Amino acid sequence: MSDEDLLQLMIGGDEDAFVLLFRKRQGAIYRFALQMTGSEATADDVTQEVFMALLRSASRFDPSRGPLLSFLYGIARNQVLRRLERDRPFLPLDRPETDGDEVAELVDRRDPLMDLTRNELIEGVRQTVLTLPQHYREAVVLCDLHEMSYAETAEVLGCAVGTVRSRLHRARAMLLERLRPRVEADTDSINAGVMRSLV
Amino acid sequence: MNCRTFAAIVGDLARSELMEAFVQEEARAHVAECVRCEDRLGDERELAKGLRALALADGEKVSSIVDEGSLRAAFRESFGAAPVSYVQDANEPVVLASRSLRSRGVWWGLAVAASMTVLAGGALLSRSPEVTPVHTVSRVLPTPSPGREVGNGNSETRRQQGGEVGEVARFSRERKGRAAGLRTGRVGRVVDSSYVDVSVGEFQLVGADHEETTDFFPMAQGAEGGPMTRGQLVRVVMPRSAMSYFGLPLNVDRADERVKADVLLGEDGLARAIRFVR
Repeated sequence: MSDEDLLQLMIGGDEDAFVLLFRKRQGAIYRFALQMTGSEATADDVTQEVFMALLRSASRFDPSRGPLLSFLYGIARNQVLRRLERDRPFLPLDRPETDGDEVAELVDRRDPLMDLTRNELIEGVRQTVLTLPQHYREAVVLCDLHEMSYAETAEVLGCAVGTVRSRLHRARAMLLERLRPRVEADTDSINAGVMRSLV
Repeated sequence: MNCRTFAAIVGDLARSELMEAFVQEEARAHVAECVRCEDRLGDERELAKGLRALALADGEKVSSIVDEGSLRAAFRESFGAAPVSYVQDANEPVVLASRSLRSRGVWWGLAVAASMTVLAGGALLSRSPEVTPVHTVSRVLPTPSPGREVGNGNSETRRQQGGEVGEVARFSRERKGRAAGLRTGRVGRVVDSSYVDVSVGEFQLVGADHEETTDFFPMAQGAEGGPMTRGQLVRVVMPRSAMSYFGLPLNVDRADERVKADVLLGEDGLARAIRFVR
């Protein structure tokens, strides 16, 4: 049964349909919130709030605008943004000048992601995604982590497909930049080591 | 293709996204000539691998706090759980208002399907000559309205308080042995042998010789239509588990058994209300 069918049953008072919808989609919503905020507690709150909001606003869903999942992601996004805004002092949301010191340590000098254990790799990427500014982060999370199309992502974000592509392009560049080795620092340290050995 | 153009598509190229064949060819040709863009493509592929690994690692994660019980409770609070009565004001149309008018069981589909079964049985029962009034529904009309009455002697009128004329009608049911089927439901002013005038008033069940019924539960489809002016009562049989959707207690041991119900269909064919029969 499709999400839309379950929603119609739910609107008609079918409690089990609502629960089935929750079971089917809560994982995706939770993961989106987790990957956007880095906080399991926040992701739990957002997930609960998304389905509570669905109870209140199910009739507002318009299937001509996209699938129900996009609608749920849209609610989740609003919830996430609200919490990010509220917790702004505690999260590094926008660091255009940063050189990514804290994440460069995770990176091999020669190859951005080589020689790391799988878990280190995954955590490194996760933390780096969290350092992205919110507009770029959500593009990466939806397109690269949730494998949404540009059109679906544009629907969730309420922007044009071209905007999604542009943000994604910039986001990926930032990720690479923050994961790329600091070649200059490595070269200096190698040179210093060579000099000491010669003395 | 130049480096700038290549940079615009390197992400899609690294992820093997769909693109026009000639664009892909040009990109590959450029990569063969430009070391910097070749490195860029390699970096993008590695980044894509890293992001896919992250997606896979998170693939099974679900919320550990949100539980279905609390969501069910919220659902019941939003949509209501208790049966409700009709609008009490006799001057208002019967809107089947309820605390949770918006949604009250969308079992019309089952009712319609089951009614096909029961109507066939009802047709058989209709041939029985024995007519026993087993259920009476009294209904008060605020004002008399002219109309064609089907005269079969089963309706009577009485004057009410305030000079308004009401009409008491009876369901006549044919009975054969233990089985009972609804032949014709007449409530209020009869306009047509198969329709009932339910424009106004308060329904009240008055006695029953061998059947007991619940109150009528409004159904979600009924909420979509306007106030009801005419309707048809159809006897159906459905799984007993359907009763739980209307907030009635259910004996789970008997959930698979069948239960009789009367579905009130509006003129538009929408199921407006349902009551269960014992």
